[in-house]
Amino acid sequence: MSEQNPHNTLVVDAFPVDDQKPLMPFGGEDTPGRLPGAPSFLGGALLLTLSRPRVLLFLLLPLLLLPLVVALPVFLGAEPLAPLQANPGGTEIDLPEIAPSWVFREWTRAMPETLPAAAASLPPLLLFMSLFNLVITGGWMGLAVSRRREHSLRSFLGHGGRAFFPFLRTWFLGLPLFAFVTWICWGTPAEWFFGLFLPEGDPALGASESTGRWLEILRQLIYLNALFKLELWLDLARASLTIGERRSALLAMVRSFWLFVRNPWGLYGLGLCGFGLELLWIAGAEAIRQVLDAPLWPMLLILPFGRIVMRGMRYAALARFAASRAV
Amino acid sequence: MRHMAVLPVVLLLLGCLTPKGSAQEAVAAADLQYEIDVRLEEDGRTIQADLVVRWTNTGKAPTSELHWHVYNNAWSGPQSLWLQEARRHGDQSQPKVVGDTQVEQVRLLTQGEDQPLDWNYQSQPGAPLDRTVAITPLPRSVAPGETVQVALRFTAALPQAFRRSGWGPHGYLHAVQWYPKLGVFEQLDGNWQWNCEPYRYLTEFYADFATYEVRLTVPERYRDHLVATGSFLGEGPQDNADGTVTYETFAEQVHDYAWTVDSNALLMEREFHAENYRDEQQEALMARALGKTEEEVRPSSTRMILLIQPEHEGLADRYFDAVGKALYYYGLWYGSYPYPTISCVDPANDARQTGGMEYPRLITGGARLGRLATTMSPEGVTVHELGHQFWYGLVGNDEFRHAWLDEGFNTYSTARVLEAGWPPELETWSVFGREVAGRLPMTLPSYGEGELRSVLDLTRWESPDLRWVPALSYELRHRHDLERLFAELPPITAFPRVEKMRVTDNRRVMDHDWTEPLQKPTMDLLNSSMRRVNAYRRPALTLETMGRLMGEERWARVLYRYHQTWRFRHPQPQDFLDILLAEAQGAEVIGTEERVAIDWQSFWKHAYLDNDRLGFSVHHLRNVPAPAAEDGSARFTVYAGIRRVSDFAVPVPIRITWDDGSSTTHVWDAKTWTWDQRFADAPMRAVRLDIDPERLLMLEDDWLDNSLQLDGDDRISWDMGIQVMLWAQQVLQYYGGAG
Repeated sequence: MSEQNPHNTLVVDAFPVDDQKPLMPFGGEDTPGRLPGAPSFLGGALLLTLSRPRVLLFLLLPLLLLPLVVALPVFLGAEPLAPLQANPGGTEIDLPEIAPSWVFREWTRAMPETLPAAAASLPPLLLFMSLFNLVITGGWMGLAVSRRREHSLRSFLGHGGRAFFPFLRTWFLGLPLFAFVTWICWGTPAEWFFGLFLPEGDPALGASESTGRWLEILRQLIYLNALFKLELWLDLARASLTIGERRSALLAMVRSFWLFVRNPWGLYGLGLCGFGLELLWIAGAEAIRQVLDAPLWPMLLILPFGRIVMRGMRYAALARFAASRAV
Repeated sequence: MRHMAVLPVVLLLLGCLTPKGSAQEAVAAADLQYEIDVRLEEDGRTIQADLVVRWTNTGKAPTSELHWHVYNNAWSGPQSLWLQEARRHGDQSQPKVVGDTQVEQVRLLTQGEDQPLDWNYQSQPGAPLDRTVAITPLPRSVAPGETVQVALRFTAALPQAFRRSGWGPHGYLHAVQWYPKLGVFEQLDGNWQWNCEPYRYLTEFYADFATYEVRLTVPERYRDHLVATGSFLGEGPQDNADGTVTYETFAEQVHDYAWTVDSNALLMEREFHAENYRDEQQEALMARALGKTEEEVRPSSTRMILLIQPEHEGLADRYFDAVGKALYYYGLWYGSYPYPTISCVDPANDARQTGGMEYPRLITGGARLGRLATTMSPEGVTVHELGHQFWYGLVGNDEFRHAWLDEGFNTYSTARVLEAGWPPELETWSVFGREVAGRLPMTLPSYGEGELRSVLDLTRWESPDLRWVPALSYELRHRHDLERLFAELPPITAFPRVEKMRVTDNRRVMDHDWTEPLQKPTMDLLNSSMRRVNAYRRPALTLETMGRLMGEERWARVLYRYHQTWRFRHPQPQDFLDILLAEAQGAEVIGTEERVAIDWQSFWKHAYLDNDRLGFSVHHLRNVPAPAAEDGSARFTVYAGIRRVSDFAVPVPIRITWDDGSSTTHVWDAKTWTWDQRFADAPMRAVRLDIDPERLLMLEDDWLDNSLQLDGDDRISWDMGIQVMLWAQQVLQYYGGAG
């Protein structure tokens, strides 16, 4: 097991090494001329994430601890509500299924500072999570394209740590892109577009309420779609950085844009399937809970766990996809 | 036009002006008649009119002037008092297209005279160019009992829909306050004088009951697209050679005249019959309270007319249902609606600012597509505006000074109608333009422009304040319905069914500042927030508290008597107090151990004259083991303490719940500051102490300190905590993937 003589080491969990060939999806065969589809990438990536329980447990921790910053003050603050068990007139309050709004109002009045402070503690946590997600992305992508079969949390964090600063540069590059998309959908271009259908582009001045409504729905769908593609593009750039062990975020953005243009349906399908599975997990878990009439608290574990797995799956699959095209 | 003067007499003889059962409720004929010949120009927004008014001085002093409201001039430009006050209150809105009334001719026509009169606009303090009040000096005084007749010719250009009145660009016109209208000659501050205030930001209207004969000539496109305060006379509109049609209309015992045309809207009519809306419990209550039979208290029939937008056609049943239920309950509680028709207007989308208003026999509602039936839209606003037919339309208080006499009584009544007539309204969240039931446990804070920390939630980036660099601001992400759906997963994280209990929901006013007492004139209140407090929910809660304290039967009698006594008249707050004192004498708060009489003068002083808030709090509940009884069973000495934490002293019930689930209710007169009781030799522990367990005191400041439970149940804390945790978890995960 000496480092000086690696050839004597029995490596049992390594991928076959062939630097000349593009990386293929997990378990996929190298079929010349035909690349596998999104389900194949996602399936392999799902196995990759599920086979790393230590990483999953680690990623679960912040999602159990950080929300406590918001939830604990609420829990403690809700104590005075204990005697309020009935409505005026006597009908019993059946929280959380049915609740009278006055209970919330009395509660809010009784805690004029605690509740806003609890809510205000969330935005810094959002920023932290967004940045921490760069480590997570780097970790999963690194594991996915690694030539060695690594399972340890240490490897995961090692990949994530190495990728953090290059990824952070893509994060910063993403900000103006988000602003641009938002400007398109809510700024001058959107105003011009709304103006084609409504006087002064104002739904309140339209002869028909329906016109304004449908335009608003259309705008939201376009915006959501644009956000989705933007996230995909940024992740692809990160995959590009990971595969080539490169440092330039700008060049990675350009390369990944080119990759996107060449494989729009493959990438779009991969992303959509990934998000679709995540939604399915969420909706399925909730549906089962409702059928079983189960309490809410198990969802505190089930939902984040599923979402961590799905997210890991998406990142790993994307990295493998990018690697398979990076000839 | 003169021939129209005989119409009321003829129609009264024919018995077709008022519905069955209403004649006995009309206490006095109007001493004021308006005859108006109106022509709406082709532009659909300009009105040419000839107006003749006959006014009889019913006061006890002569007057040599007539004072007129010209409300439409509030929209003529920034010099108006209304718009100046709006700016002072931080409201920068202006009409897109201004409105203006020009009076071209004023003539005195009394006793064969026909002489021109002056028309002088009265400047107002702080707004010298305001033109919402005009004075016509008369050549001689009008003595008490004498009648004067004046003719006006005027042109009124209405504004583009703005604050209650105006037009929409696609064929809608809501003509309100469109004509010069006389003020009220009455006793104010001990003197007989004109009560004719300018149109002010915080107030609405005040006028005398009158008879209106109005000929409405409108372009042909408005045929069958018109509703008005008056009933239509004849078989239908008269066709004119110039391509217009003329409707002859008539209304009596109303203090305003409004009309609406909309060439795109649909006109529907249905008959209101009380039999379709019966609530046997309420009918029995009213019958007992008034000493009548249920048949006698049941409201009489009337015709409901709806002018509705085509895209809201699917909401027509809900509009009619709301009007019908409101007519039923208000009619049951306060006496039948006395007019032959009630019209309801669903405003055009481009003129929504005219929605949610009341005029005699005509109201405007408001609805949006995609709302759940349980959001009570359009029901909520329709019931409220219909209720104004009773509170303000029939009991015509001075809204400049005592807006609470109509808004407060009506807010109180609206809540009761909504609770009686519909299941509870649900809180909702919105997605894809639709409302879905549920309430998120919290919301992310939203930061204003210029706040650097807004970058924390990835919504906005602001450049630092560098003098030599122009300020930059980027909106990074826009929080919209769909993003909220994905970020916060409301199907899971929302409380699934949060019900707004309308009566209790009026307690939201507790969140606001009560700096000024109810007695302060509405027009002089600090701001619009104070107006909302003092005119709407605070008096509603005060009335609710009165009613709960004195019991529903006695309270039903108080309201009915007050309404009937002041129907077609102008009450003052003292008039309500007089009836309250007469009807509510002897009312007591009753417990299992004591009963205490309520001092209504004291209640009025605290609630109306002073600015007192009402508050009690539990201080202690202790069980001290005492020597065992002879049979060896345990004994306790129980100590219970309550504090009154405000000046408002009113009898309050106090309930002690014992270990076996039984309870005893005491009544404390609250004349001292504390209630400190010792119960010796109690056979079991007291486990709970409740102040006002039945929630009689809707004015109580804080319900959370009204109860103390030993061995408390923390179920609610867990429910709240888990829901918030789940929500925060999802938000963090969503934003964790962003960027």
